[in-house]
Amino acid sequence: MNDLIWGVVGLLLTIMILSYLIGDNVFFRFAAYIFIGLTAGFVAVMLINKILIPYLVTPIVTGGWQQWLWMLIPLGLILLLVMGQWSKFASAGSIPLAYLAGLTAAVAVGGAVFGTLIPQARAVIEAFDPAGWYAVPGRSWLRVMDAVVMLVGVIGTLSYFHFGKRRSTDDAVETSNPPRLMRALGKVGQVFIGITLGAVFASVFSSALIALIDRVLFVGEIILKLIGGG
Amino acid sequence: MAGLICPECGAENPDEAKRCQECGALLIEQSQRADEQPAGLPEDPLDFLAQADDDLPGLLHALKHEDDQSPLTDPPGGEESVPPEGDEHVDSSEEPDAEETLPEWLIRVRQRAQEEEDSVGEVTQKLVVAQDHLKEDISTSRHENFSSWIEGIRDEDGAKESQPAEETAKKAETGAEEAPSEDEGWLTKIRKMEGKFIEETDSEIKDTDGDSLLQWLVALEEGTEQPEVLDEATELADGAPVDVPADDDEKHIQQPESVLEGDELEVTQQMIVPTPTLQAEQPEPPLVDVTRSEQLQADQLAATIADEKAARAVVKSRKAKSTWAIRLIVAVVLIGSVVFSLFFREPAVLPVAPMPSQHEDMISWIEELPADARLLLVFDYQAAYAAEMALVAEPVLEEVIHPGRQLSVLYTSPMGGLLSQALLSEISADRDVPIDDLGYHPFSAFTAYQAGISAPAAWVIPSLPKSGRTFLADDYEGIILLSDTFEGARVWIDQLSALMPGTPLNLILSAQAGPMLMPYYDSGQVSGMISGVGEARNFSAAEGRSGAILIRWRAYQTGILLMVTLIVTGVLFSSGQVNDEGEVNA
Repeated sequence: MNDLIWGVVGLLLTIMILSYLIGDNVFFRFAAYIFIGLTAGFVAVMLINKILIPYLVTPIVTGGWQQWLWMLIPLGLILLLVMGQWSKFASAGSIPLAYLAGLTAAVAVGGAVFGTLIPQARAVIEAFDPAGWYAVPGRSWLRVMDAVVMLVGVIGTLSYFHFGKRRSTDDAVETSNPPRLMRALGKVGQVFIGITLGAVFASVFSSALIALIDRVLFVGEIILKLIGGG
Repeated sequence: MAGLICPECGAENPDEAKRCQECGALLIEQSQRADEQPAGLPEDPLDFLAQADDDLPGLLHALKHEDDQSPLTDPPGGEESVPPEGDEHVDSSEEPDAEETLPEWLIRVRQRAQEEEDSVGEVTQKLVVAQDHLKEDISTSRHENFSSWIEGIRDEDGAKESQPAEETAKKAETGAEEAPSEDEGWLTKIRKMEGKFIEETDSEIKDTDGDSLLQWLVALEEGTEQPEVLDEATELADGAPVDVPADDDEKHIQQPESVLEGDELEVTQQMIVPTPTLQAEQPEPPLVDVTRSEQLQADQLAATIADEKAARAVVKSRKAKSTWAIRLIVAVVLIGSVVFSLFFREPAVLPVAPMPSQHEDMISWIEELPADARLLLVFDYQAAYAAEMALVAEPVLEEVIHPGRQLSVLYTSPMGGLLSQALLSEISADRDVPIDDLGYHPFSAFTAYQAGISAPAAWVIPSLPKSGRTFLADDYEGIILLSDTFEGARVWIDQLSALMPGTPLNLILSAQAGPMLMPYYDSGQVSGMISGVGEARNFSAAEGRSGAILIRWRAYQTGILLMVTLIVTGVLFSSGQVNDEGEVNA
């Protein structure tokens, strides 16, 4: 019975959301506001239960003096962040934010360099290793073509995102167009970017369709339950 | 005049009063001072104001003194301040005070001017008004006379360069010749402090609206206007009639209110003062030399203005068509087709299709897992993708979760806890698999980094709280990442492939995240991956499984077919619209 009640609630909310097909209306807004409010409340409770209590409160309550000292760091940052809410101490709030931004940048840059840039560049180079072409007998020309297409795609895509301009020799005024070679390679890169974004676009449609199918299946099952056929 | 005027509040009091009846300020000193006034000065206590009005050289002297004491400006050439010759007619008893501090009467005048507009003399009021006009003229004259301003700077620089050094030295030798140049310096400072640059020569003062009074004071100080005024004043003192100009636009008669006492002169009747509307010759716009970059900027600005003013073809505003009916029809057709495929057709029979290498590698990794393997599941997707992610992950997790293995779960989305429970509870319901909930970790980058450095080789701080020290202290046989976005998955790949290269990382992805992550599989950073329902169908067929994906497969096919049809129709329809509009615009 409990499942049936919540099923009906879910059915009504699903129909309210689907009513957006005929345009914005009060039912859609009502359902959207419910979701937004529930999500905000859920996230707040989640942060308290999963972050603050286990990582801040519990060590302070149950830990020794050494853990107490360690906890002074997050407590100080929290205090500065709260103080930043008052205009008089607004500059104090920038300290923890600067700490967070700097840490995020350091982690992201390190990961991008050692996790993407270097391994991907190495993969492009290794694709031209003849040992790899003939490691598996048969259709070695296909692997050569694969390596060439990959190299052209990488160079073309990087050229497309090259925004430099050629500096004229007579004065410091820059010309309006990038070098001709860069423009030609950029055109090639556009093809690769277009294919990639087209694949992503089709995949987004696929994901949305699966969500629609799931909701239709859910509504059908609830209706079948209500009429006693399920 | 009867009564004493309070210097503090300006109230009128009887002659015998010692204190002000309004504010209680002491009046004895003032009355005594009035009694001690030298001969020739007015007896009326208010006459010190009138004196202030007519004591124009003293006023200028006070202004000059104030300017000399200003910290913002340096004295010209660092020379000592020498009283100008034009100040000789000022009473010698006041001169030392004026040199060191502001005159008392000027302080009182300013106090009264701040308190009451009507309490000061007309000259002071006009001086304030003239200063206000100067400030107002800044915005207009600064732009209007921009060319002349540039020319003025160049002329001034040229004059400075061409001025012989001997002439400067000669002026510095005699104090009589030094005084006027010093006056020019402090007067220029006054003007610059007012924010207005005035081009002037020795014999010409260019006037603009509003500042003529100040310039008349300047002219009076420099002696250019003094002869005319003094002559007329002398005539007035002698009782001679004054020639009043017929043109009232240029001059007007101002009633005198005080006696100006100098060494030889006494004005008692009238004084003719040039009006503030005295117009000077407007400078002709000079030729301005500009650099090439300035010329380019000017050309660009001119081109922009010309482009804005250019005539354009008028595009008829088309009435927005209501598309809700079309959307409703499309939605009904789509939902109807899905409903028909779901509830009125038999489940699909999946043929075994050739598997891509990323699937084969994932299956190989699963088959090689030890029976007591420790695995980490990372839930990094939102609730909106729960249906798709469940379809994709279900066949993989069915193979992974077996009794004897240990699972640790962490999630980087707030709903991840609920989503992991919903997914794992169905799979592990009848299997005795312990699941360790590592909790919610908001930032994927930090979580992935922490997972990497928490490997056994990483440094450890013993006194850190356990929750922070042993986040991922165990050595896992593999990590399975469930993600719905390319960015979220890439963060994990970046960190783990760099910090834990020996730990196999497998991806279970939504369809939209798969294409962008294929290079990471090709580079060997990812052990295996599966993305989207289409690949999950192949995986299920290869494993011989039949599950929820079979029920939805026909609906999925029907929906994809309809969507492709709609996209193609929309492209054809919109391209026809563009052609029509292009013809209209042409």
